[in-house]
Amino acid sequence: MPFSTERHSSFMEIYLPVAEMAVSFEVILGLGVAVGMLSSIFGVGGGFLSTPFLVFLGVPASFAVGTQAVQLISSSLSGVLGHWRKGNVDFKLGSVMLGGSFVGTVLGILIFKLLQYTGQIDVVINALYVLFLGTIGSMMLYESFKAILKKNHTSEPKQSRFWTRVMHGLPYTMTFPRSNLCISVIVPIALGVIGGLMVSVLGIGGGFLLVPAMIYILGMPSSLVVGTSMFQILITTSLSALLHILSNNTVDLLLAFILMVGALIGGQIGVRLTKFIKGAPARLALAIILLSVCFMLWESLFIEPVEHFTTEVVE
Amino acid sequence: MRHALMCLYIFLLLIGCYIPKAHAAPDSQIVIDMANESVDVTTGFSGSHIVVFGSIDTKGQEAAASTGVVILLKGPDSSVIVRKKDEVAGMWLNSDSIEFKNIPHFYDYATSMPEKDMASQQTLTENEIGLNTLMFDTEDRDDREDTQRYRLFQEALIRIWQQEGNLPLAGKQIKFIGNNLFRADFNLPANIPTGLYQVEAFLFEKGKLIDKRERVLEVRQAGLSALINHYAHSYSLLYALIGYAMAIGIGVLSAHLARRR
Repeated sequence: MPFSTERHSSFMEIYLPVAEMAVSFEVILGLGVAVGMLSSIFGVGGGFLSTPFLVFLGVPASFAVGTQAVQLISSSLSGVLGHWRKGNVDFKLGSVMLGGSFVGTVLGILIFKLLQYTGQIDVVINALYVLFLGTIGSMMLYESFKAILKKNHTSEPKQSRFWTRVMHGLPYTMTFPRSNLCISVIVPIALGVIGGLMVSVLGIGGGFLLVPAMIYILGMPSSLVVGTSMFQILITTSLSALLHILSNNTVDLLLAFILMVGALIGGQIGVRLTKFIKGAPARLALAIILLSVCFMLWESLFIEPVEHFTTEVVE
Repeated sequence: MRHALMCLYIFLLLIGCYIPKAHAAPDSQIVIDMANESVDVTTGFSGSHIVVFGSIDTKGQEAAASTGVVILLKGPDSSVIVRKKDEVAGMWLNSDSIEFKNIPHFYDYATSMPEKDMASQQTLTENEIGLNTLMFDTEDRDDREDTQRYRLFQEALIRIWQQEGNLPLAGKQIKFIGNNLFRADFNLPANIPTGLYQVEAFLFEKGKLIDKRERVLEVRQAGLSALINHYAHSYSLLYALIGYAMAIGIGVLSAHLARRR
């Protein structure tokens, strides 16, 4: 029609049926590919990348976090299967952590609803991301620089002496034969609560926080840590996805599907790239990615916005 | 008693006979129709174009220069929270908010001449013609007391919705094809809500409203999009299970591909 003023975009728009909004198909698929590459190269879930980016694209935070919970099922499942085949999952310790994760997830969903009600959800999610990504990113940057400068030093990370002493003083000990540990269940449960909160409030597995904690605080062998944390994430995120669907209806399966297919493709590309990216330089690259996302979110939080007002349609 | 009822019947009958006679004067009439009675929002939806056709029936007489036509397109009413960001300890946080209610989620209009030449402001307001006639009612009555603050939030809502295409910057122009036939074109953006939209047509002559017509336009999800939305809201548990199946399928496939290498 000659008088038509419709936008002629080079991107294919796709309408998300539950979020009730249109997004660019290529951008969402590309985001999935990036997340898949990150997971296969660095072994991270990639939720820290997709949740903020979805929000950045205009997807409401509630839908970004809810949908991310479904995507996390597929990525953590594929991780668990790989580690399980090699016998690198401590199911007993993972199950104890899950006790805490369930509490954390339910608590997280309630906190989410409360923040939504007060209208601060986006700000809180942003601030927590800045805090986590900034901390982990700078630590990783420091560590990888150190490793690149003195290449000879590669010792196995283990439990710090401080935490050994703390762990000994706690009650309710249990033996975990697979990890060769005899520790109090309180600390794994507490870690589980944190994991559950991160999945349900932030839409991330939280492996980047739990993995070091399980090594330094619990004293687990590092070969078992990733598989076990992925097992805990798998069950936690399954519960979180269910609760997000049943309580808020904030899961868009079409969005989740595109992200998952993208991640599948990205994973295959990533596997072929791992030959070239290894060890300290890889961690340096990841640190830079983490810090860039952190900076992007920091900007939206600390720089005066052009438009001071936002609107939200409630019904 | 029966007598009184009888009198009432006769009275009503007389009125009934009288009314058509009063309107038998050759007043002009307006009729409208749409190219499509409904808009299907499918997974490929990226906005839609609405064409409203109409004609003025002038009963054989020439349409006067003072004849004005207005077409309104109004979306379903909604409640909107407008939040204001303020600097708190270096961070930009949502600090103040007003909840507006009964705001059409979409509003656009087309006129054949400038509104102010068409009718008095009062008539325009009564029929909600023009952006400045929309009532911005607040959920909390107290929010209306500080007029300066109220206006700030109201202007912000209009400004943001104009950017998103939910409100027009100005009224559109009705295109006349010949003397009596006309058309109005509207664009619905991709983010519009589903529901029943009202299409209203007004005919003004010498500043007086002489005819009004209403039609309904249904904006609804269709196809796969409708199916997914339906399952998400009506069969949440099943929807969750479908989500699980999808995620497990892709997860297993991905693990399998990783193993083959």
